[in-house]
Amino acid sequence: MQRIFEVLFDQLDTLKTIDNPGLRPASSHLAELNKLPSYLLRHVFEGYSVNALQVMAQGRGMDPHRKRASLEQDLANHFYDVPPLKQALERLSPIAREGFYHIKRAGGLISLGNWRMQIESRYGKEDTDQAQAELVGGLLAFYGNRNPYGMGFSFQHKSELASCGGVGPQIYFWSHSKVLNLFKVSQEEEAKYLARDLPQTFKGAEPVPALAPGFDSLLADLVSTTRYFEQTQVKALVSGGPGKRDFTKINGGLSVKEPGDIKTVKKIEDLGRLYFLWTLLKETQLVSLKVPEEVFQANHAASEEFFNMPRYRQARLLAGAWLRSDFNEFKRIPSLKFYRTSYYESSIPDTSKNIQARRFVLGLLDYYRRQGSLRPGEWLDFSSMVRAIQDLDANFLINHDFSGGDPGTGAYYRYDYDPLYPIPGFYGEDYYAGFTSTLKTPAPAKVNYRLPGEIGAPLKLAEDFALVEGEWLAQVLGEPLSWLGLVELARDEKGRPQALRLTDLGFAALADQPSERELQQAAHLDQLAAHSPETTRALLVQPNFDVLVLAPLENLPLLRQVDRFASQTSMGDVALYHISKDSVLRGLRSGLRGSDIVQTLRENNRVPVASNVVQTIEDWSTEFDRLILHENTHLLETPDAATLDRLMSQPDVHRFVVRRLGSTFALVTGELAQPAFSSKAAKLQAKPPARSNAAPFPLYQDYQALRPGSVSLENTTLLKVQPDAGNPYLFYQLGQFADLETWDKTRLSATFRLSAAAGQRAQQNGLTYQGVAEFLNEVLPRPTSRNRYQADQIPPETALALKGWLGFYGPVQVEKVLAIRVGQAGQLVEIFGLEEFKPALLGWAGPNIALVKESHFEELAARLAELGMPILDAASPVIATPEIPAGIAEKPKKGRRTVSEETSAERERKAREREEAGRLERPDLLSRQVYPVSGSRSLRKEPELSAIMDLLDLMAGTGVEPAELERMLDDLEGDDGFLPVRPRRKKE
Amino acid sequence: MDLKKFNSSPTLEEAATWEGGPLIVHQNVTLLECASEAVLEEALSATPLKYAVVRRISPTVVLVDHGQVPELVKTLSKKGYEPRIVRS
Repeated sequence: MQRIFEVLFDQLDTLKTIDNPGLRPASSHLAELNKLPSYLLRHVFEGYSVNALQVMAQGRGMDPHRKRASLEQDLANHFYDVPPLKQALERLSPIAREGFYHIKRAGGLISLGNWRMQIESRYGKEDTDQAQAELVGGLLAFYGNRNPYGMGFSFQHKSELASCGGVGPQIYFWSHSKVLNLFKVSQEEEAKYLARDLPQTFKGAEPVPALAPGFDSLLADLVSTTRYFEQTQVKALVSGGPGKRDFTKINGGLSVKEPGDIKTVKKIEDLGRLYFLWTLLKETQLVSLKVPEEVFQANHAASEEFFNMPRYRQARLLAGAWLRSDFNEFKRIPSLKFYRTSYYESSIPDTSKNIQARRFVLGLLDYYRRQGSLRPGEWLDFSSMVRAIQDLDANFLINHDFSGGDPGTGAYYRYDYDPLYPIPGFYGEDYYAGFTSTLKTPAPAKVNYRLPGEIGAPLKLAEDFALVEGEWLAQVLGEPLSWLGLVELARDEKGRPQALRLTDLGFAALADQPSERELQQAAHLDQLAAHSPETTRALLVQPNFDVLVLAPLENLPLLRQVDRFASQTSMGDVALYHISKDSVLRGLRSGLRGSDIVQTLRENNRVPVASNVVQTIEDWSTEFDRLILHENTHLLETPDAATLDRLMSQPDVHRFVVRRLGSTFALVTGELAQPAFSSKAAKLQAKPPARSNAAPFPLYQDYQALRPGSVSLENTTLLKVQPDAGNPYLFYQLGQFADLETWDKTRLSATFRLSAAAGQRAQQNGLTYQGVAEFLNEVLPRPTSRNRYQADQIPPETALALKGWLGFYGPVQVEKVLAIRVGQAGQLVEIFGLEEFKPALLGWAGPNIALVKESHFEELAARLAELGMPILDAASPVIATPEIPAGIAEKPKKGRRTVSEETSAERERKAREREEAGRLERPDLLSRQVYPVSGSRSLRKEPELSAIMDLLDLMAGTGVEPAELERMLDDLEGDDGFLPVRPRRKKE
Repeated sequence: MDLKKFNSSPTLEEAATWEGGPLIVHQNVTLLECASEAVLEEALSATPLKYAVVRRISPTVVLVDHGQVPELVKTLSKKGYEPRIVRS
């Protein structure tokens, strides 16, 4: 059985252990109440009136006519004494005994309001007051209140025996462990107390169950939804559910579709039954999330197991899944209007409270079934059921008090209700927070403030249990439990819940045994099968390839089988399928064989299957079986056919060999593929034996394990497979992009040469440099520890050759250029900033050197000469001629020219360069005067451009690239008052 | 088809062991089995299967590169040679 199925069945199995529904464990506050120190006990007694203290003292056999302080002191000193406690318990009246039983059942701490409500509903106010006075007077139970730090004992007034000195929902009735342990009730007594909580049989006219899709629809929809996940790749959203496109399509295939326009729904959580279906699939793991791919996948094994179960087991399993699910019935109660409130302030139950409440209700139904209060076909009164739940555990869904909670919970976040500035959803601590009910008419307020009718009225914790918890119960019975086919809910003409009953399936699922009806049906089918077996067969295969599945929900395993190779066209009392080539191929892809399909049809068809159907399916199957790909399999190779013949003749050969594939090859099982001998033997066989003596063990070669160091690079282009390290997969990988040079079969060693021709072949094979480099890095020796951070083991020469041969780099283009050099980088920037010179520029060899196309050089030289910047040949100071390339080929003249050879402009320029070079040693760019010193502030509008150019030249001399200069100028333009906007150059 | 044109592996069409040599268990291999020799030749010539053949072990059976299986299945299916996939 699937592990998850065991867990889900356990959910229902634990319900059987519930013999006392609503019994709560001892309160966590008992730890402090069990050992109150004397001074605190005195403080407890200070809260009671003198009359009350006198009665307490009399009960303890003390003199009551003394000073109050003495009474308090004596009562505190003998508070935990056992004999007087025993006597007090023996003196209790039957009503007081029942009252104390309820305190014990609630864990020793119960809201006084809840306790009084329980007892008053049975015995009336006077008897309740009497019981309360007996318990307090006998020092068996006390009043307390809660504060953020634990239990408190201070009230506005002195408490009497039958009335507490404080008011509000935070008043508790508490006891301590010593007296709780002393109090024993017999089984008969307990049964009598609990019998009062049994629901009443419905007395009115026979109720009509509300129409709701039942278990059959649920099964049909589970089949169609599971099929959708099997046949479609459904991606998961971040929220963990399927997207809108998918749930819309799933809804299209359901037998009962979602009401309203599903296209307006944004997420699956906002849907009703479809979301319920999804939570069941999730909890049962019939569909689960495949983590790295973030797609949903159907669990075939789980589906097969589930659909092969008897119906009562299916219902039981799905009920277990519902108990754990995050489906929120509370939010679907139609009479409640919800408000956005914080988690801490809201009374809306979260998932854990919902789960707790579902367990309580299902456990209660199971308890009533075992008690015999619920009988097959008998309707229970819905209102009495709500009252019973309220008596048994008013806190089962929403906390009416915090007796079971942690200290402080709910107390920090409470604030007073302000009728002038109301917070929607919050009406004070006596009310449910976060919602109102349209079933209750709002009462007129003192300040003439009234809530509109459609919003409904706030609901009181002490009064409106039926409108909140009762409505939740109706919702649970009317939707999830009805959808699961366990319960039927009847409503009156106004749509209000009236009565409920367990269905046959409900009784069977809770009892975990088949119902009478199921047993009768099975017996009937057995009888039919004995007389005429063909009538029990559920298929009708027609020659036009239509397949009818009769009574599909009673033949779910068969339906699932047909689902695999045929497409469903309709689903009802009969499921109609059609067999097509596509549907058969889908089945074959999922692992079915043609013979399996034909066998399924033949075994379940009422008449012999038409020959054209069988023939066509076999043809499609044969076509599909032309190629069979065995993944992750193992192959045995023998040196010669005779050896394999000998092996195949061994008696237990079928344990290891699947079948023979050729003269020297056989497909073997994983058992043979795993070395069974010791690691020492494995080491011995790792080296292939010499030719002379054959190996005692086979040689294992793993195709998916490439070992570092199995290949070495002998020189730039020669790869060597190390002796004993080779295997055919390694040779195949190398043979893709290198040529075999040498091959030593006995040592499994070879050498491969990298070459242009091999590279071309690799390119044809679709290999890239990245793929080859990745492979080589895997098989070449790992770098030494000193070079362990070296990413690439391929030497640069080899890498360059591989990149060239494998097409990583393209061909190198040759172009004739002339280099022109200037002293100031700004000069070249300005020259080539002009549109007319741009076509001549091929590139930059540095900030001061530009590469000019030879074809444009003559024109450039002439134009620059016109602009007063003649181009000088490095060899001779004359204007360059078009034959410059020849001149450039000459070796430049060495040494300095004499001063007389330099022009005056040249001398000035050199002087300026020297001066600038001197500044460069200690550049002080910030203090550079860009604005005239004597200028007024208005001069900032007119910066001295020559100074800026000087600055730029200076920066250019430091090696700043033209692009960087451009960027700096752009930055300067950012300051409005600093630099006027320059005409922008086109970016190249 | 001469597979040597596409790969220079020494074991492409030859045995990996020798007479008197050891038995070899090739682990974790991917094996393509064809219904007939003609089907294999057809698939080799019509599809990129020829680039993925690691070894030819019989006229109808070849070992293929396990790293290329998804693409290979896609291409074979596109050309009408959809293989049945058997996972061990």
